[in-house]
Amino acid sequence: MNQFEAPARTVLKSSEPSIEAKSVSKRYGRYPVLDQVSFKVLPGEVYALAGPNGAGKTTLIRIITGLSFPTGGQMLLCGEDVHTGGSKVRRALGAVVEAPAAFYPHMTGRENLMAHAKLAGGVGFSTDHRNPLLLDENRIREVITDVELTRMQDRNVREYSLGQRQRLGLAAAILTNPRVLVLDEPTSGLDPLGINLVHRVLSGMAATGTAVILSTHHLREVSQYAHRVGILSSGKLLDEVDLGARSSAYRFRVDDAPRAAAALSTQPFVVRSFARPPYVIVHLDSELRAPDAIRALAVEGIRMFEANPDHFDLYEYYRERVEREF
Amino acid sequence: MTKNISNRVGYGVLSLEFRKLLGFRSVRLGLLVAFILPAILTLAPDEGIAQVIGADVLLVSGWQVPGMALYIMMPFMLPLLTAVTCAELVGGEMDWGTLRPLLLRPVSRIRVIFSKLMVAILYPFLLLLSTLVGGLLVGGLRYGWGTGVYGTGLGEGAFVGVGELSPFGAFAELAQGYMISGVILSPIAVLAIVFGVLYLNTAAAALAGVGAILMMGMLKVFVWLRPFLLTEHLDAYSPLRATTYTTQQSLILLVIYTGIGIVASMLIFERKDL
Repeated sequence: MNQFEAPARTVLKSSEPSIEAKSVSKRYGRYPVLDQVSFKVLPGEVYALAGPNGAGKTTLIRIITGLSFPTGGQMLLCGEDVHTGGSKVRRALGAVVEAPAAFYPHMTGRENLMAHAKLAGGVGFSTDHRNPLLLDENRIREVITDVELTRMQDRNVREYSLGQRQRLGLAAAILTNPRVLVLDEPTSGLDPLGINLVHRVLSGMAATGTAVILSTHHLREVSQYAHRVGILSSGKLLDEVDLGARSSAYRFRVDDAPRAAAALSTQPFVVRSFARPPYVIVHLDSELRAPDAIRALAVEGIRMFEANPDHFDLYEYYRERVEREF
Repeated sequence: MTKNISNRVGYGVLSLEFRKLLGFRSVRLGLLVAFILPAILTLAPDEGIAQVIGADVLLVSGWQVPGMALYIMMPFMLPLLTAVTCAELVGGEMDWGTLRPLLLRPVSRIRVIFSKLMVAILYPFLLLLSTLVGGLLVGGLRYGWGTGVYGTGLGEGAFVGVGELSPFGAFAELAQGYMISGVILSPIAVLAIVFGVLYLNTAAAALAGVGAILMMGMLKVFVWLRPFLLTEHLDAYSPLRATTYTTQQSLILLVIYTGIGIVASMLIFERKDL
């Protein structure tokens, strides 16, 4: 398992999605930017929005965060309408909507985070740790450490590089341990180490139950830790790719692929199996069932020479899907 | 508890806005210009000053310099400085990209724009304070601050006065005139915020603000419209004004305009796409 990879693409089961778009539309005059976009993001899920430039990703991100208003439909955060539910709805939200993330240039990184913390509910006003709204300086130190900006924290933001500003943006977004994290192009302008750090932080947040939605052009990167990818084109959500399900696909090289496919299809944990000689491709209900599939083949007397995950190329899929649309 | 947090957030937004205001280069420059200009104006001959003000001016006391500076700066310089900086309160945030992150926090848009409006209304008073202090300093150094027979320009008898004026009386006249000037500049500050919210751009908002003032100046050709034009009341501080409106009438109208501007900016900002 490499360091980008989430330990397991399991999503916390909850009856209520953390983010829900209900037929969201947006028009600027007669020009439609978003057309009846609907999707849900569950707690603990990482949802990536992909699409060509001008597809409506940034508009959708701004509508999710309440910065822009839809001309039709509804956007819910933790069950409440982000546009009519008042400012309290945004208590659940952490977001970076600018690339690079924007801060007051004449203030230090730490002072900027202090200002954010104050606006989020306060710094050092209380020692009541039962109230998650109240942040203390320890939390500010913690997020600065998380994004590896300890050395820069007392320097004015105008001295920060693009990548450092992006990382400070991420620190501001996770400051309140939000239930919903929304990021527009979070790895834009970052070097490989910075990208790695962002992936690690996002995966960590998702593992604690935060619903993460991000827009990106980096499909191969995001496919390593996102659970689902929504493909947006010309304002429409063309497709949703469940990468969690795709990651449970395996490819076995066997001596009799059609018989292996038939044998596997009778197993209760197999979602789908088919022959691609000399391989049999099998989609399991969980990647943890791979040993059971191998055992089933052995029981049927089928010889297996090789077993590998059947990697899904999100980039190729995306390209094919968008090209088909045009 | 919730109310407490809400109040703290409100205080946080207001103090943050004030800190941002002082961070603007245009504010520091504006305050410096407002402080220095009275000193430069004292170098001008009395006849020149009299021609610009439209009344006899004979500078004999340090208490007259702030009044003289106000007469010369109020028609254009102070409204311009006010409009540019107040436009920047919204437009500058958009340029920095910090307005959106601010609104991602659990702070209502009304609270954010109200804080900006309060700081915008405060700014002309800071400019005026700078002019007053600068004028008093240079005036005192050049003419002294003693009792004499003169007028500050902002009380009865304008610069000639109506008899002997004590330092206390002179200061009271100046304080009243400068306070009235602050109220006069308030609708301009609010107007710049309205345009800032509409255009989300400093230059566009400042130009629109200045343009609106120039437009109102032109509209005075419609005589029936004059009482309602902001520009007709910009000299409400002056005992030399030739209009038929009293200072109280002008101030009431200006306060109403300020209130309308505040409500308009809040309504626009509440549903503005950012």
